[in-house]
Amino acid sequence: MGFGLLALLLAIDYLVLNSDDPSPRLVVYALGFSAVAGVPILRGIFFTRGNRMRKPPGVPVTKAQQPVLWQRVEILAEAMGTRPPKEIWMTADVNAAVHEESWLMGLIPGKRRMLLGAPLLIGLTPAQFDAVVGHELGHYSNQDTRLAGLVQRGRESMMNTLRAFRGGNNLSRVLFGLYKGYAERYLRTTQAISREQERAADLAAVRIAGRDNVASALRQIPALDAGFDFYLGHYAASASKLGLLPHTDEFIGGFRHLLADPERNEELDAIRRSLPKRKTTPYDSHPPMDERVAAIEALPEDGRGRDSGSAMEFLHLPAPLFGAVARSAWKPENNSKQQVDWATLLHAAGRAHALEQAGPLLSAASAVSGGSPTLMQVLEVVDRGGLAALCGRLPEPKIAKGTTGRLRDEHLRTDFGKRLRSLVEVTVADAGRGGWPLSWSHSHHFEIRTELLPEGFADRLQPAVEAVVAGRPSTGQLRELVRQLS
Amino acid sequence: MSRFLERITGKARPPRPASDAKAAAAAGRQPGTGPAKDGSSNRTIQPAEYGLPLRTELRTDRSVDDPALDAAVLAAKAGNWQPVGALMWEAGRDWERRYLYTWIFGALAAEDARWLQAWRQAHPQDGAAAAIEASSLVQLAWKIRTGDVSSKVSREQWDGFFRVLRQVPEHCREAAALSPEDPTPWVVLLGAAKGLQWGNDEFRALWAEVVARDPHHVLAHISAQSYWLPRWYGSTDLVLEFTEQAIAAAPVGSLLSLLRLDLLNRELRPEDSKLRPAFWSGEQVRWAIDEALIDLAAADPANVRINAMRSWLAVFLVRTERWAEAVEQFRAIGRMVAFEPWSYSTDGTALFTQQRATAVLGWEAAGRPAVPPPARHRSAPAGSYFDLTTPNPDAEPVTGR
Repeated sequence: MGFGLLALLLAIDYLVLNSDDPSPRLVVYALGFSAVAGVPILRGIFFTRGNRMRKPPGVPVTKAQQPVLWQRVEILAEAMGTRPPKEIWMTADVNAAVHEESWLMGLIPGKRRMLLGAPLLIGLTPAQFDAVVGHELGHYSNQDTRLAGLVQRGRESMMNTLRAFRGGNNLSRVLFGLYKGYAERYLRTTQAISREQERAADLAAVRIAGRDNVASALRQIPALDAGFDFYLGHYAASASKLGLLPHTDEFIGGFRHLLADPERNEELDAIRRSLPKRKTTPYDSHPPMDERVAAIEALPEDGRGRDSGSAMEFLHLPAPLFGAVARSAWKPENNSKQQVDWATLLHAAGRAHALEQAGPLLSAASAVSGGSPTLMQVLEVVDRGGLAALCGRLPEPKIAKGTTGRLRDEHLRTDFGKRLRSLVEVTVADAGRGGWPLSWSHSHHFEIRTELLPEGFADRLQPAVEAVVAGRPSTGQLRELVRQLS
Repeated sequence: MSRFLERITGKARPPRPASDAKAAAAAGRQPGTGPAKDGSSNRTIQPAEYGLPLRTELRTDRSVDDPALDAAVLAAKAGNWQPVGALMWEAGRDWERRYLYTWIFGALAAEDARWLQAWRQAHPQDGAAAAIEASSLVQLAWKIRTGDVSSKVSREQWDGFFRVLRQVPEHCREAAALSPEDPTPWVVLLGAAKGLQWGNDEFRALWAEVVARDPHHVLAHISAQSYWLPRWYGSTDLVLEFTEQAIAAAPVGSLLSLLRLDLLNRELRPEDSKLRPAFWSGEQVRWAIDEALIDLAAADPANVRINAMRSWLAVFLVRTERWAEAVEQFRAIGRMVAFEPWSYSTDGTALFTQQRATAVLGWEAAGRPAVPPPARHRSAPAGSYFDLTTPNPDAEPVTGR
């Protein structure tokens, strides 16, 4: 179920981010929402599954490979008055967690294992790293991990049952009534325990890393979560369908470029500033993020301030480590994909995105005229009075649903114009006069190489496209510009 | 609608307008058997007793009572453009009327333009048809955008809005070339320029084209005034300067002093509703009303904008409890209510009848006073918004001096 919810959130993000925006922004509202709702879900999944799994996702990091990281974790454990973990695994997600393989329902302590997400190492400062790791170790020192696994598993399966029953038939509603009372009581009781554990762990983290660094770390995690999803969708995995990937070392490591970009940083700031209030249920295992941050920020000033830099400084040769993490996380078919540099990758992704937009237009032109699916064929059909016929063959844009008359015609033409623009971009790019350059501020952003073209070409492009879908369609301007390409 | 009522009446809780059936039921009669009445459920009037048209006789679809216009609209809807062409030809150089017709037929063509295309094909050199086509594009663009606040307009809607609006200047220039003396294409372009976010200098150049052809065009002034509002591309100072210069330059009877009433209502009234009663009863509002009454008295009764002036005055006179003068305006307005301020509301008829009933009941309660003699022309109260020799008082409006 946790995975289902996550998939839903990602689907929402995907829809928002793929709304034909030529330069997708890190859509703050949508991602902000899923980030905050998504963090506890991610954690939930790892908690329950991780306990059952013999082999966690990611790669083990030994003391010999990463002495500084281990030393840091050991210092933190000592400061918390608890034993350090036996193993540290680095994972490919925005997550940090501790597992303990306890026996006899938690009565006998077992092997402690720490999971650290590589994106956290990239995106947290050293003190924020201390805050997060301190929080996780806080669970150990409060002696809550051994039973926590059991409590959490119980909570998880009851939530699943409650959700499964909701919206069922009459019979299941009767059964649900019998079960509900018990389940709710269990959830309420353990929820208080679960939340109290989180609060205690937060306070423990404050003692180690200082108030401001813990608060900023809690604000940073939703921002990193949203940012990393965005990074995967628009950068690292953006040309995966075309068989292209960034170099292994950059697949996760490239996230640092996005975080370093001033414009993206502003967008992430919006998430950091306003943790959206989430509707809480009595069953949540974590207190709402905004409540936790508010509680920490209300603590007295401790003079520790905020630090800067990146927790990557704890890593010896981070690039190959991130590469190994990436290989452990992705599906086997990715191993056979071609690895290219960012500029090549993003150009290919931009072109594929534009071609996808243009596809239905090319098919429509080919179907109407019986000719080849080319830009020239589209213009031919328009010149023969076929604009409306072409519009009628495109997938109906959402905005046109239920409209009639001229309003509908114009909605269809607007959609046609966008697809035509994409087709023209592909044409310009394939003539070597433009492309989708590497930019961490804008993705899928087409740029014309003005130095290779007559003056004013770039300014005339959009008007020429719009002239094709104007009240009196005219293809002359666009034909003239296409001629200038050769 | 209730928020609009509040804005237009200055009252936090306007009396709820009741339908005829409700009013009749409240009076203990069967719906539909009694005479039609106006007003709130417990305070009603019999319009006929005051020589006022019944609610059912009001027309909200047209702002001028003109059978030829009605016939031309019907013809256009049936695909027949010739009566439209004849009507435009008859309007001749009455630019105000010509623009009004252009707007009405532009709205029709924004729904279905086949009759217009036939006209354009038959007479490609007809400037009236070209201007109607340009106006239809402006109105079509706004239909695509919808009237929602900008944050609710989707990306697709913005794309379509700008794409269609960008076609307007070319169409306007074409229409202007076909009838060089006619201000209509330039007035159409004023509306597009605002949507296209033209800069102040570019807009001033366009404005020069308008006033060169008709210096006191009321609708052109209303359109340009809104461009100069702080919420668009101007400021309080710029819009006051525009308004007062326009009124000062125009002869009495131009009706341009309605710009002042519109501005008081839209822009100058205090944000804080507690300050509003004092604002409305203040000296600068009284002065603006008096000046508008002088302007109206000198206007040509055939001016197509005359009901707009009367309607603005009616609202202001009700607001300032000048009942006899308010009733006089409602009598003169008659049955055509497709005007701002009524047309700003989604239910203009309800707003109109509610305001009209308030006026008549206030007049009755005051003992049916006679209309006072007209005021004489004065200059703007010193220190008021309209006294441009002193800095504008901004958030501290002159009250009740």
